[in-house]
Amino acid sequence: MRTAILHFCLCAWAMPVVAVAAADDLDFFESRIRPVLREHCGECHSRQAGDPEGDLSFDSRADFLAAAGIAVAGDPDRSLLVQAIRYDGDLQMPPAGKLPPEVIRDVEEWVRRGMAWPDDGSRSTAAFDIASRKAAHWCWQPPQRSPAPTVRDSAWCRDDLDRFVLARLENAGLTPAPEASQTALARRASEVLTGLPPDPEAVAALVADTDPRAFEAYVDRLLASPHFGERFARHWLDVVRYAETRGHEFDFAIPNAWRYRDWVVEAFNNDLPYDQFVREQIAGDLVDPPRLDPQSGANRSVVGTGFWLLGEEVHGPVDIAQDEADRIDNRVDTFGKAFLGLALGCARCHDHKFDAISAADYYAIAGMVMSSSYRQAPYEVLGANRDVAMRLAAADTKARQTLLPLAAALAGESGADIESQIIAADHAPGDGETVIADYTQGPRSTPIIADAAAWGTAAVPAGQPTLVSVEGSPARLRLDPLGHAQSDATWSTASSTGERDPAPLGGVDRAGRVLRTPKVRCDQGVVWHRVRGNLQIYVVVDSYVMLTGGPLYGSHLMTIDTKGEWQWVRQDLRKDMAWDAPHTVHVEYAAIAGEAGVAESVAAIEQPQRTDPEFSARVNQTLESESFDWTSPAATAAVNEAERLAAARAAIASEARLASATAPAILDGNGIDQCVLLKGSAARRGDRVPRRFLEAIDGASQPSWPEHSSGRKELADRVLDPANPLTARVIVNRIWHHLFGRGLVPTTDNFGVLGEAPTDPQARALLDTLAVRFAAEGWSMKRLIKEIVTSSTWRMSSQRDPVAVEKDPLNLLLHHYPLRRLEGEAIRDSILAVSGSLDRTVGGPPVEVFLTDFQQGRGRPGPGPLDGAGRRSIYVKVRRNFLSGFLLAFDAPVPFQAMGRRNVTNVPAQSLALMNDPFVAEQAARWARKAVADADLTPQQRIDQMVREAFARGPTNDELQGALAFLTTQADRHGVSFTEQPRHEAVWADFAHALFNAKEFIFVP
Amino acid sequence: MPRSHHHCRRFRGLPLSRRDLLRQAGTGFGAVAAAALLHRDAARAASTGTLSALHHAARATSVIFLYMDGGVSQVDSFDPKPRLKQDAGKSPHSLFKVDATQFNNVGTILPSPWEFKHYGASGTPVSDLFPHMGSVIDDLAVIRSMTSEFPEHTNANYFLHTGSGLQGRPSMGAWTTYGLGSDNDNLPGYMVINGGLIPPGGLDNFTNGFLPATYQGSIIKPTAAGLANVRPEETSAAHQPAVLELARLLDRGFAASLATGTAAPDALESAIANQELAYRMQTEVPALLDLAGETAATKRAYGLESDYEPTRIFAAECLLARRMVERGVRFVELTCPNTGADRWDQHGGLRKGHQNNARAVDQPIATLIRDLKARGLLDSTLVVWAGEFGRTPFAQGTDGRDHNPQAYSIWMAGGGVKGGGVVGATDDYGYRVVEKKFTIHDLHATMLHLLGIDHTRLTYRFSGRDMRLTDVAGEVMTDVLA
Repeated sequence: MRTAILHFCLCAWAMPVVAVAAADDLDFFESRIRPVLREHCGECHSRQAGDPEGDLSFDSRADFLAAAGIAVAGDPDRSLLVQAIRYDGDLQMPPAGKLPPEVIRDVEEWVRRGMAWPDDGSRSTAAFDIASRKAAHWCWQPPQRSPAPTVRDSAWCRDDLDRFVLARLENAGLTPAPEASQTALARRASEVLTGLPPDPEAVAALVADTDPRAFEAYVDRLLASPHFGERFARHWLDVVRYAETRGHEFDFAIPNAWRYRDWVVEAFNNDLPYDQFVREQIAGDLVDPPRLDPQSGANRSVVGTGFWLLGEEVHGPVDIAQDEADRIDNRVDTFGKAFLGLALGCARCHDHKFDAISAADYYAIAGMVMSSSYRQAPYEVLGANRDVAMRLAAADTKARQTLLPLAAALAGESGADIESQIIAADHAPGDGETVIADYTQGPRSTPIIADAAAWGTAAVPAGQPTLVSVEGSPARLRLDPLGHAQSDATWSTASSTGERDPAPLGGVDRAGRVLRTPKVRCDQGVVWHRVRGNLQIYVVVDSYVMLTGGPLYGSHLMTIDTKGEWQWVRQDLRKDMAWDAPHTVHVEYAAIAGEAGVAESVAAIEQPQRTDPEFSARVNQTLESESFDWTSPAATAAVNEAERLAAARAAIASEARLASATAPAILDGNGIDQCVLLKGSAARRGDRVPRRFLEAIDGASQPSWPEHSSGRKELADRVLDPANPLTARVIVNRIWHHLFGRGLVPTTDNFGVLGEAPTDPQARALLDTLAVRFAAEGWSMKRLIKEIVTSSTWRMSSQRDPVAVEKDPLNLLLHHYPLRRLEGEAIRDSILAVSGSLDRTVGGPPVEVFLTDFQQGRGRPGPGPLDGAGRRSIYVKVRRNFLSGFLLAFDAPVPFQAMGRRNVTNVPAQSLALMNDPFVAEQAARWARKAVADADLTPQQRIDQMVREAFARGPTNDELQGALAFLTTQADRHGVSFTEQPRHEAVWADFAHALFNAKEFIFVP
Repeated sequence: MPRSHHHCRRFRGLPLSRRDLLRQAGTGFGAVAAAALLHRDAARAASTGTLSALHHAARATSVIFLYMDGGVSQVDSFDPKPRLKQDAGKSPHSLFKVDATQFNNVGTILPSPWEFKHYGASGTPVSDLFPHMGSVIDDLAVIRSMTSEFPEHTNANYFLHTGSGLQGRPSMGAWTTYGLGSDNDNLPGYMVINGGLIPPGGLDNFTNGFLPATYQGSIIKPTAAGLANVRPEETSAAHQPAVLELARLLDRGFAASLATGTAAPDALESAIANQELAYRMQTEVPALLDLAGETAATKRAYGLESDYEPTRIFAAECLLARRMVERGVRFVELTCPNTGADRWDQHGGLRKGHQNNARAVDQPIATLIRDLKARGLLDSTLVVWAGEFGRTPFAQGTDGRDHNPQAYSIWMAGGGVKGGGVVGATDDYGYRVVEKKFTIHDLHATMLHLLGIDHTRLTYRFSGRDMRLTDVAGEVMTDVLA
């Protein structure tokens, strides 16, 4: 019997080298093979000459064995080594010229006979030893909670974390800077926690509040503000290389990517516990039960999986398999950096050079990514429609139980054991066929994988009774001859309310209508579909989704209308690719209109031949014959019953919710184990690696990963397991980094050997203690942030003590609060805030990015408004190929991989932007207009107000006098008298422009 | 200590050195500040790899990269293949193994519509597309054996510019200025003169990637607009000095509030100084772009009086490139003007498309070489002419050529390059390299080598490893070295 899940292995042929060899085989090796390897390969592939090329050396048996996949014992034709020396493919070795034919024959013979190689007792000189690497580096050791150290000045400490910081300072003979003023703290907390300046009124209220816990209350208000979520969401978006287009040549959209962005904003605002935040990004589609929006019932969890899908994608890649490998690499790498602080991507081409991460670890996780495909999820209606689908399935079962005996009886068939006659006996696939999905087999059919509820919960078994209306006559019953996956006509009216995938793929409103087969390895470039109805059929090859009408791969997509009949449909993928090597495929069927059915999906050159069971055909022949009397009492009763059941069913179907917003999300599939790709090349497959978590954390023997699923749910479990030493540390460190401008581990995305370790043992103890508590106390990010922000450490002023600066010039010990240069987003948002132009709406579709004439190129959109419609920067559309020039000048990241720590540069372009960017000039004018509106203010009061808005403090006397002098002379330059026209807008705009250009505007002490 | 006024301040990592800045500021910081600075600069040198000294003597101090967007056909330019005439009309499948192509529309062998002539003392053949380049052929080292890894524009463009086919890596100009800094305080070190076409892959071809923003390419238009944000708004130009003066007053107070008995924080001082630099750039850049001081003969020689507009545009680009090199700009890249034929990317209409593109660039480039030489700048300027890949010797459809990364021709000239020769060879059809196969990594390694940099030692730690322009590959192309 065929297993229901078409699990397969992409590379079962890569077998280990035979270890025991006969003596004559060894002689053959010594006399004929070893000299060849030495003479023709040794120059490059030997450790004696430094690092061997491609990490492949022929020095010893151990080295050769370590090069997994280089050859297959017994099968020269499938051995890379042999292919290379034959000059068969891309890899041609040795490069200097093809070896003589007799030498090639010898090597073939050696491989055929099992690749005997004497055990010389050697160990690979570069043996990769996870245990010793793990033991040698701090990040793999479990974090331990340490007692707070004792300090001399315990009165200074508000919180345990202060004791760790103070102990370091006291050890170094330093004292912490005095506490910053309330005004300074008000501005610092507001900019750091919300990315916006405080209202002067809020500052005044804090200063006036005599409650000793006034600052705590102020911080609570900031954390409760929706702008907190916007601020910290932007930090997270840096980590996940967030963009709303796919870059590359034409910069196509990632439709509805902003739904993920809003998901992040909401997560921070609702203080979604970090473990759930992680779980939903890794496997929100598999979280059961999902987190639902309390008002709308929308599935929130699934939107988190957009995380995986935010990378660059290439359209029309000639080497589609390599393109997949690159795409998966970006996902694996981002996953590793974001959640684990590990550079997993470094283990793509070889075992990690420094960290306890093997290439096998990388491909174990790559398999999970490969098993996960893309969809636009109609997340608003997933839950409601799943209920509808389950009730429909129950109704169908009931209808079958009721009507099948009635129909059989009408046709004169005996009632015994009908079911066993209806479903086809096992039919083995014909020669050269790869069955992708088979929905004809009743309960043993391929399980339904779909992007929503349209295709029900299981395949409809053959013989399902259906009601056929006949013009001018009573309705009739007939049996559906084939088992199949079915989408009712109701679901073909589903509509998405957001963006669709680019045409032609998005030519059909696919969301909510997609049936996805398992993914299989396919040697044939022709796929046959046995389908009924009006369908879009999309053969997804190597998970390539960029069917945007560009060159290549148009043949992956077709539409068909079978006019209600079952039909075999042929799709030839060889029009676009040679198909000279296996590719992975799955098929996605989307109903275009009406009812649609899919019975089988088969990769084969010739049309598959099937013998359908006769029972249904026999019954139908009788029921459809001219002589059959549909007015007989029995027929009438059966039809009446069928109509009653149909009406009940229609009532259920009417509850389907058909319109929904969509979000990019993962559609889970069957589990696929990936092969190690030698040097990361899709053309060079090594050993298969079962999906599992990192060996350094979970050991070498781990429970099997599921076959029916990618295993991301299990992956999330392992990431969040208490035994994982990294997850809590990494996020605690990220938060510390955002609050102090520098993490306790400065390299926020890399805790490995090439990252920077914690500065000193106290820093490590502090990080570990915070991490252990963070996880133990419920993973609340807001709570951690509040604890840090209200500590004495965070409240230090930015005033620098000369002694401390001499001893610790880089402020590694935190003897003062570092002066922070605001990020581009915070600068832009602060400009909008003080000018009165800020639109404080939280969430929603992005506003198009403003582009200058200098920003040209393919896929250029019509430029957006200069002021971004007053929206916060997080809502400005992130187009990979057209990033905001203003934000880029201030180090906004180019989104291609995790960037948890931005560069903080000082470049003239920043000054030029503040001096001459028309956006800044426009905002200065608006600020001036706002400032002069109140005619009752004196110039002094107006100056005071504007300085407070900009810097959250009043002007000094020098500043006030300087400002007045400036206004007077500047008015002269504008040809007006300041005394006569103290509210001249252009003059005040110049004053506003000066405040924007003052360093205090972009630097926060 | 006085600031060094050595002619070539190439050793400075950043366009604005913190150390120089504070010394220049002369505000009398004591030993404390100096200790902090020394510590900090040392840390930076160790962690970023910015060069404190050249790895070996440089042969060139500037680069002009003439980017032939879209892919010039090698068999129609610098790599004559008579065999194409013999086999014209035959299926290439019957002659050699054909790799997958971007458009999968493989036609028959298509001979070059252009004749080749031998030029110069070297007798190097050049097609009739490029008679002007032929006239300076003895200064050019033609390389017929360049390869790429990608048959699609975008990947190939990223690869050519950044050494990686993926998006987001730093461009060669960014790497160069990261290593060497700039020779001009008042201009960006890496400038891209945009003739009108931005190559597929967009502005990320010129990105600083993970390197600090200091090193990103500044896009310049050869027309009046110039550089973004470099000109004050018309109305505010006269009012700007006072605005900045007031900002400076505020900055003084702000700096003082943070510095009790010690220096104000580095970042703040740098930002203040950068504002002054930015102010100077407002004068410097327009002066750079103003061609009024050039003689009529020079303008005519470059092609500024051509009756073909794309020629005039590219002439202005080439002339600006010379002016930038004169002013110490480290890396200048020129992109092609729009001739209405979608760059050099002639999937169809090969004859007209290539002819128009050649008409736009041929004369300006030849004049640039001659002008640099006449002014003694060619010896210290490396000029590279290259596209992202070549084109197939067989037709796409009937009269076009598809992309060919397996072999194509580029040339190099100027500082440290042995002119007048041909390096490498392709097969009888110009389809694959048969001799001296070079990669883009080799090209980058060679460019850096001529600038005095060992490409394996110019690194930046990011993403968990020490990144390089040449990734893990690259060999200096010794055959082209003088």
